[in-house]
Amino acid sequence: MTSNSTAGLDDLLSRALTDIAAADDSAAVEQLRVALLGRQGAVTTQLKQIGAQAPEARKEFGAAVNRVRDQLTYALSARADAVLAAERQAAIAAEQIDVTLPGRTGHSGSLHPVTRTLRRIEQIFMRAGFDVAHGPEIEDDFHNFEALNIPKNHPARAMHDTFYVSDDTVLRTHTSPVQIRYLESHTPPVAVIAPGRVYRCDSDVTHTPMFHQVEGLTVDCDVSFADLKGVLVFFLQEFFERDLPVRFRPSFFPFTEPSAEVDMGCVFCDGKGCRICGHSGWIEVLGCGMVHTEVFRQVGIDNEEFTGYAFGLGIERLAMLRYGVDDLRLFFENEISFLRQFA
Amino acid sequence: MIISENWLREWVEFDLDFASLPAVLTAAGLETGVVEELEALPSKIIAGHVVRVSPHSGADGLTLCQVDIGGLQPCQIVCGAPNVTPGIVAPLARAGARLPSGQKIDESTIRGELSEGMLCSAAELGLEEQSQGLLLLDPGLRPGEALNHHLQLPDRLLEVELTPNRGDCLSMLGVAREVAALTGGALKEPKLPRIRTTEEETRSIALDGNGHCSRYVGRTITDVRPGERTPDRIRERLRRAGLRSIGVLVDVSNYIMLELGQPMHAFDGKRLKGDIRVRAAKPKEKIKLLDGERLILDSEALLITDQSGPVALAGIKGGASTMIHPGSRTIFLEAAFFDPDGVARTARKYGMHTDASHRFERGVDFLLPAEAIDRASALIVQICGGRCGPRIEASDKGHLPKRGWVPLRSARLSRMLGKRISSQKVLNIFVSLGMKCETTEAGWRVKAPTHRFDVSAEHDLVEEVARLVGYDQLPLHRPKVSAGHGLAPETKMSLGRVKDLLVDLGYREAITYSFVSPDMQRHLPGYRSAIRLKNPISVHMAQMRVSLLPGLLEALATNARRQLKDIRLFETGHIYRKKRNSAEERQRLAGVLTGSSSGVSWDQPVRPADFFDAKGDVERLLNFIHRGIESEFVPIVDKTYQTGQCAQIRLNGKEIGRLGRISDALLEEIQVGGRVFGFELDWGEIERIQSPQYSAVSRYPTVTRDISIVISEATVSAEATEVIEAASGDLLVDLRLIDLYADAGIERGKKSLTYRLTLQSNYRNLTDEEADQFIDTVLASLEEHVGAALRSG
Repeated sequence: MTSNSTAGLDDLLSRALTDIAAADDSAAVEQLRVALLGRQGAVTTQLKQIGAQAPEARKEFGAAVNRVRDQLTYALSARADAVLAAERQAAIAAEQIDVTLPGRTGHSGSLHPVTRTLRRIEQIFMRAGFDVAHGPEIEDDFHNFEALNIPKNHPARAMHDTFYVSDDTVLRTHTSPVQIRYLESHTPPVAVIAPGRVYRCDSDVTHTPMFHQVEGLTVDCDVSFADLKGVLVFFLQEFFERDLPVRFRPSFFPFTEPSAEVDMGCVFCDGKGCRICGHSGWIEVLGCGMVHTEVFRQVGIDNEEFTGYAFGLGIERLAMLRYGVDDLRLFFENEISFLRQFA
Repeated sequence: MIISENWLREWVEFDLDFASLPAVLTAAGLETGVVEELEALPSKIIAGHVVRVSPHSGADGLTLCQVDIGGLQPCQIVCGAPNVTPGIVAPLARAGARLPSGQKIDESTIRGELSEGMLCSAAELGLEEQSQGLLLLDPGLRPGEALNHHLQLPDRLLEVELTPNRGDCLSMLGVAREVAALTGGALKEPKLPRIRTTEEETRSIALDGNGHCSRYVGRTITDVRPGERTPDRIRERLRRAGLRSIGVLVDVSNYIMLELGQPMHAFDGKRLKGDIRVRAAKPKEKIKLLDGERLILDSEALLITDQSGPVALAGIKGGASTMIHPGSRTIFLEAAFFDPDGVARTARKYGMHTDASHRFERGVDFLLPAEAIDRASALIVQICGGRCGPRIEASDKGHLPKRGWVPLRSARLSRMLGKRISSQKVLNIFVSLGMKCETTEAGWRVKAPTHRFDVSAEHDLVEEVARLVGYDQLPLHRPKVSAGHGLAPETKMSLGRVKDLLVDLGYREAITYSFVSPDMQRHLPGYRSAIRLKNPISVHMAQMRVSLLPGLLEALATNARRQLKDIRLFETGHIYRKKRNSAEERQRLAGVLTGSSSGVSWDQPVRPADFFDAKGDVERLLNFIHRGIESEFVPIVDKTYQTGQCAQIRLNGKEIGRLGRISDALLEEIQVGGRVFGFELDWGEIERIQSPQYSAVSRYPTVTRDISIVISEATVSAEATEVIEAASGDLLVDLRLIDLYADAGIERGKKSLTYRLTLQSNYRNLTDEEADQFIDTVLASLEEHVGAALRSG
C-alpha cells in the first residue's frame, strides 16, 4: 500500500510535469494549477490522504506528498512566468508600429509679414514709453492736410497722390493725421505711435495704392532734435538687431521743421554698396523732424511751453529690408506660397 | 534738376573735390547723385565739313561723302545717316579713333568704296542715350578742329532732387549759391549785359490780377532772324539738362530759365496786339494753348491778355494765337513774378505741370525778371540779330513779397537742437547764405534774400543753422526710461492674441486692399451704403469695402488658381460705410475656408470642410474670448451666404457677426467652384471682456446621464438645448449633443438627438434617484415645449 501509494505519487508527478511543460498559455497553466493544487486538485487530494495512512507510513508518505507539491508549485510558477514572458513578447511584437509614418496633426497658419513687423515695431516703442493710437482711414482734408501745414495749393500736396471720397474727404495719405487727432484729445506730455493703412493713388512696380505706416509723436517741455536722433537710432538698432550706422540729412515735410530723412547702412552689403542700396551703401528708411509750430498752433498747444518731434516709417519697407522681400506687391497678392514663409 | 559740372564752375569757384560734392549737397538737404560722366573725346575726333555727297553705287541708303578736315584733300567717308547733306559740319572719327562706347574706327572698304573714318551721331559721342542722324555742329567750326572744348567735354552730370521748399535751387545760379555757402567758395555772378535800345515801345502793361502778378517785365525785339541755328554751346547745355533744342528763341528762354531760374515766354510781336493786361479770367473764358489744348477757365485763373483776348495762361503756358513761328521777325519777351499759390491752384485745377509752373509754384526771385530779360535779349541779338526796344515794366509793390527781419533767440536754438551753437558760427552761416544777420539781446535777427521763399519765421532759421552745422554734428540723446502708459486694459481682448489663435487653427493672415470691385459688393446686403472713390485706380478698386469677405474671396481665388485646394485665410481690418453724411469705419475679423476639413492622412478618410468646421472655429474663438458666455447661432437669410446655410451670431442677445456657406453668386464672380465657407465678426462688439472672477470648485462627484429624444426635423437643435437648460437649474454643469440620427428606425420627418448631461451639486452627493428625477423633469419639459418623445430602444 505504502510503496503503491508512493509509486502513485511518482506517477502523478511525472504526468503533471509533462502537462506543465506542455501548457502554452497563461490560461492553460492556471487550469493545471487548479487541477493539481486547487481545493479539489490531485495533489491536494493526496495531502488529505496523509492522515489516512498507517502511522508508520504516514511520515514517509507525508514527506513525499509535500515534495511533490513543492516541486509542482515551483514548476507551475516557473512555467507561468515563462508563458507570461512569451505572451508579453508576442503582444509587443503584435503591436509594433512603423514609427516613421507621419503623425496626425493639423496645419498651423501664419501671420502676415506686415503684422509680424508691426508687432516688433510696437514692442520696441512701447518699451521706450510710447502709447499706441489709431485713427480713421477716411479722413477729412483738415486732419490730413490743413492741420499739418499743407494748405490747398501747396506743392507738397502734389507729392501725395490722393484718393478722394468727396471734395474735402480723402483716404488718408499718411498716418500723420493721427498726430492731430491725438493732440486734440490729449494734453502733453505725450509719446505715441499710430500704425495703420495709408493710401496713395499710385500703382507700379515699387508702389501699391495701399500700404502701412507708423507715425510717431513726442511732445514735452524740452524735446530736442537730439532726442529725436536718439530714439530713432535706438529703434533701428533694436529692430535690425545690429549696430547699424544711421545718418540724418535735411529734408522737407510741411509739418516738421527742421526735417530729416534717415538713412541707415545697407543691411544687404554692410554699407559697401550693392544693387539694393543703389551702390551708395545707404538705405533711406524714414522721415522725421521737429513738430512745426504751425501744427501746434492748429491744435492749440503753446509753442513756447512745448516742443516735440514726429516721425513716420513704412512698415512694408522695414519688412522688405528685414526679410529680404524684393517686391512690394507680394504683400497684397496674398499667395500662400508667400504667406507661409512668415509663420 | 541736372547740373553740368562745366556750367556750374562757370558760376562758382570752389576748392572741394567734385567727387565729394554730392555728399556735401546731400548732407545739406539737396539730395544729389552722380548721373553720368561724359568722357573727353580722343583727338582723332574732329570737326568735318561735308563738301560733297554722292550716292554709293553699291548700296542703297549709303552715301559717299567728301569731308574737309582742313587737309589738302578732303577725305572720303561712307555714311548711312539720313541727314547728311553738303554744307553740314559733323564730328568725324578718323581711322584710329576710339569712340566712348569702345568701338574702334578703322579705315575700311565698304561695298567697294574706301571710308577713311566715320561721321558720328550724338549717341556715338556718348552725349545721348540714343539719337537719330549725325550730330550737326556750328557751321563756324574750323575744319579739323578738335571738339572737346567746343562740346564742353569732359563733363560730369549731377542730379539734384529738390524738396518743394527749395525752389531757389531750380537753376544753375541757385545751386551755385548753395555750393558757395557749403564750400566757402565764391559765387561768380556774370556782369549784366549792356543793351543798346533803339526803338520806342508803344505797348503798355497793366496789372489787374488782384495781386497775383505783382511784377511784369517785357521787351520788344524787332528784325530778328528766328531761323538761326542755336549755337552748340547752348544746345549742349540744354541737352545735358534734359531739354531738346526746339528753335533758337525758345532755346534761349529755356537757357535763361535753367541759368537764373526765371521762366520766360516769347510772343510773336506782330500777333500780340496792343497793350498787355494781366487779369483774372472771366467765367467760362476760353484759351487755346500753344500745344493745341483748349481750356475753359474759371475766374480764379490768371491770364496775360492783349487787345484781342487771352494770349497766355499766366506762369504756366503760352497761347496758340501769339506763338513764335518760323516767320516771326518781331518778338515780345516776357518775364514776370506770379504769386506761387495762384499758379499752383491753376496748374492743379487744369492738370498742367510745366517747367514754368514748377518754378513759379515754389517761388521765383522777384528781382530777377529785369535781369532775365536783359540776358535773354543780349543772347537773342547776338545769335539772331535784331534791335531791342526799351525794357518796360509794371510792378505792384504792395503785392510783392516782403522780406522783413526775423528774430532767432539763442535759447530757442539751443532748446530745439539740444546743443549751443556759437554766435560767430550762426552769423557765418547766415552770411554765407546771403542773408543779412545782426546780433540782438536775445540772439540774432535775420533778413532773407529775395530768392528764398522758405525763411519767414524763427523755426526756418533754426533749420538753416541745423542744416549748415550738419545734422550729423548735432548731439544724440538716448531715450530715457519713462513710465509709459500703453498697457491695454484687462477688460479688452487683444486682437493680436486672437490672430494667434486663428493661426493655430490653421488660418493664414491675408491683407487685402480696402477698395474692392463693385461687382463683388453688389452681392452683399451692405451694398447701398458702400462709399465710392472719386478717382479710383481701376474700376475693380472703385468702392470701399463694406465687408472683408470680397477681398478674402479674391485672395482665395488667387490661390485656387494656383491649384491650391485646402485654403484657410483670415483678415482683420476696417469696413467703411456711409452713415448719414459721413463715413463710419468698423473693425472686423473675417475668415474663409475651402477644401478638406483637415489635411490628407494615411489612415483617415478626407472629409470636405463644411459649415460646422467654420462654426467650430468661430466657437473656439468666441469661447476663448468670452469664457463661460454662450454665443447663439440663429438661422438668418443674408445674400452673402447660401440660403439655409447661414447663421447670425449673437452674444448676450446682440448680433456680433454672421457665418455660412458663401453664395454661388459671389463664387461665380471670382470663378471659384466647390464650397467655400466664411464668417465675419464685428470686433468692436466682442473685444470687451470680463476679467476672470474665481468661483469655488465643487468637491462632490458628477453624475452623467444620456437622453435620446425624437423631435420634428423642423425644430432646430438650439430649441431643444434651450429647453433643457431652462428646465435644469444649477445642477446641470455640462450639456453636450453627442448624437444626431434621422434614418432607419426613426419616423419620417423626425430626428433623434442624444444629449449627455453632467450634473453636480456644490453642496452634496447626488443620489441616483435625484438624478433620475431630474431627467424626468427635463424630459417632461422637452415634451411640453418641443413635442419631444423619449426614444425607445
